[in-house]
Amino acid sequence: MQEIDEDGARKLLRPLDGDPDQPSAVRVETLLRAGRRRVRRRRMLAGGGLTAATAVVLVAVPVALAAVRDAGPGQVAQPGYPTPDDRYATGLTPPPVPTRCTPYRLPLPPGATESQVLDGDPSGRYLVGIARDGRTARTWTLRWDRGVLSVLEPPTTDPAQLLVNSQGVVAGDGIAVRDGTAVRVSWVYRYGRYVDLTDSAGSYLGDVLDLNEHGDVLGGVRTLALQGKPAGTKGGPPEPPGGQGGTPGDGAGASTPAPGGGRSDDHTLVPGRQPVVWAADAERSPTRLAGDGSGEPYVTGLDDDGTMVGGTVQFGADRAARMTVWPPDGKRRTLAPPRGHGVNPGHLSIRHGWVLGWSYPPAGGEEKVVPTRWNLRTGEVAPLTGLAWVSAINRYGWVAGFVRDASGVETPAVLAGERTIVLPMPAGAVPGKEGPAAVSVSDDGRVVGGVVSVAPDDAATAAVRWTCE
Amino acid sequence: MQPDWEQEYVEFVTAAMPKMRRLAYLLCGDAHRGDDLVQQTFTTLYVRWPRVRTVHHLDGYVRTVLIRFFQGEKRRLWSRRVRLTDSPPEPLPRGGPDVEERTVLRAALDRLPRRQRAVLVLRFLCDMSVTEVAEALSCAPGTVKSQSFHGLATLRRLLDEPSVAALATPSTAAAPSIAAGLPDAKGRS
Repeated sequence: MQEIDEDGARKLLRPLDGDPDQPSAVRVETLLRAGRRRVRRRRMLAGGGLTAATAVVLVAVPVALAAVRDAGPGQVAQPGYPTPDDRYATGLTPPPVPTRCTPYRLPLPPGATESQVLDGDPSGRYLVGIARDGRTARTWTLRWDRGVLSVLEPPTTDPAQLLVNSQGVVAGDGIAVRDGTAVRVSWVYRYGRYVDLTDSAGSYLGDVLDLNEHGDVLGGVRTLALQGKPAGTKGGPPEPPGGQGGTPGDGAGASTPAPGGGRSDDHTLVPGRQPVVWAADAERSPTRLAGDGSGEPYVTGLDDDGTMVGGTVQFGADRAARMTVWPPDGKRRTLAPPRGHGVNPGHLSIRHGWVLGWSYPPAGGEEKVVPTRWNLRTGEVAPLTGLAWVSAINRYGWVAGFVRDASGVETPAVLAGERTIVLPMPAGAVPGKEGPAAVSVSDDGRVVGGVVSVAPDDAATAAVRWTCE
Repeated sequence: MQPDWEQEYVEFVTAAMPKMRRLAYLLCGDAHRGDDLVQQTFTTLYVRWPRVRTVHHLDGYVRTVLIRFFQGEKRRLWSRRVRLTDSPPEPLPRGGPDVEERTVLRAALDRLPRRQRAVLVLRFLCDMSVTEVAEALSCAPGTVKSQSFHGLATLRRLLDEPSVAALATPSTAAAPSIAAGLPDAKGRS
């Protein structure tokens, strides 16, 4: 082992030294409340420990058997798995609102102690997720086909994002080792093989963000642009055309520091996500959204017809944030928030013209952000008051998410039409405040993918599907 | 908990808060996530207080708990991942080249495995000795040395990478490969 130049190491890291630049969000009173609550909960669990342990064992046995059985040949579908109703794969008439949903723990690889569903396809046939052995930190990437487990072996570890469509195409990203160096890689799994998503030179182009029914993958190149007016006294970045920052890589509108000049203090580094789309079978020939000088795009959703949704943000003197739709014809338009609400250009998703996102409530509301739904065909926009948090939207505007009760306990739920369906918990689940959620709802409304907590304090979660009828 | 013990706890937490916040901030690179870590650590301490209040060198004990939570943080974040939505991008702090240098260095540091990151922060930003770091991480001093060596080597290599360097001059980046690992608003990367 070579000796380390300690002074050199300190010098290298010194720029990071310092205290947090914000006042503490930790309050001693909050700690006392949280600590007392946890002590009470422990006592309660200790009192009912035997009953709880028995219940877990009774549940665990059939799940473990199912994992072995389902992995074997000859299984067509997990018993009881609903047949997708094709009538709702097209058309505009929504299916009837379900009246009953039944939870099933999804089968897992032997050894997995934690799991979660990350996405489900519009037909309800596929769910994808991850599992983990909490003792060894081993992880698995999983796809369930009609409830039957298969373990994927993507070129990356621990995918941060995992998406699936009705053809069983899976897209994801994560860390891979290439030429001895750990690098981020985006990939797509189709026709039984994994293909890297890159530019024509084979370079990584950003995180995977969405996947549509054609197999087109939306990626986001993380960008960091300088925006803002020059201070006028120190030189600094000249204002781009129109007074707005550009997108690195798009050429036009890029704000370039003045040659030989120092940068102004009066500018802001603005993170963005420049969208790139890999059409199916064009894994090395992505198309980019052309910059139009309207601020830094932060795209997050891709519809089947190529429409993209996201935000546009600019800082500096012309500070503005917009929720934005980029239709295939390139005529960008802005999505207005509900009346009286504020713009929140965070994560937006889209399915068949329905857009799911967030807005800031009118002043005085208790919630910090409000789930919001737009119908691009009719122009309607409405805050979704039935759900506390939302994850996904289907062809008919049905939304997966969770509800939260007065004590903060969260329960997976689906907003179907105007009705909120609170989903029942499977055996072995415990109330959770950080884990439970529905994350997908099929177009026919019959299959919901999600997660429940199975240990106190959400220390472990389990992948669940609900069959609704 | 007995009222006098609770008073002891409050006094200890109040005194230890600035130091622990700084450590958590240096480990996470983000004040919000750092505060989450501090809250998690001190809440756990409350539960254990009757047993640990007389522990010798309580500061070191709490620091070890915080570091362990940091190393296990990925698992907790992992279990919460389904609910993550990107927040609207927040502006990074205003500033000039210093801010950019920090941003680049932080992005590179965040790409290291958590244990290596912890070793570098504890040794070279918190000025802890190899023995102290080994104790805090429950590993051998030799492991601390090798993790330091590999962590620094990787860090220097990453800082030479065009993709990371591009963060420093994003507006001029013709190359598309902006580095991953740029912390976004909710620390998802």
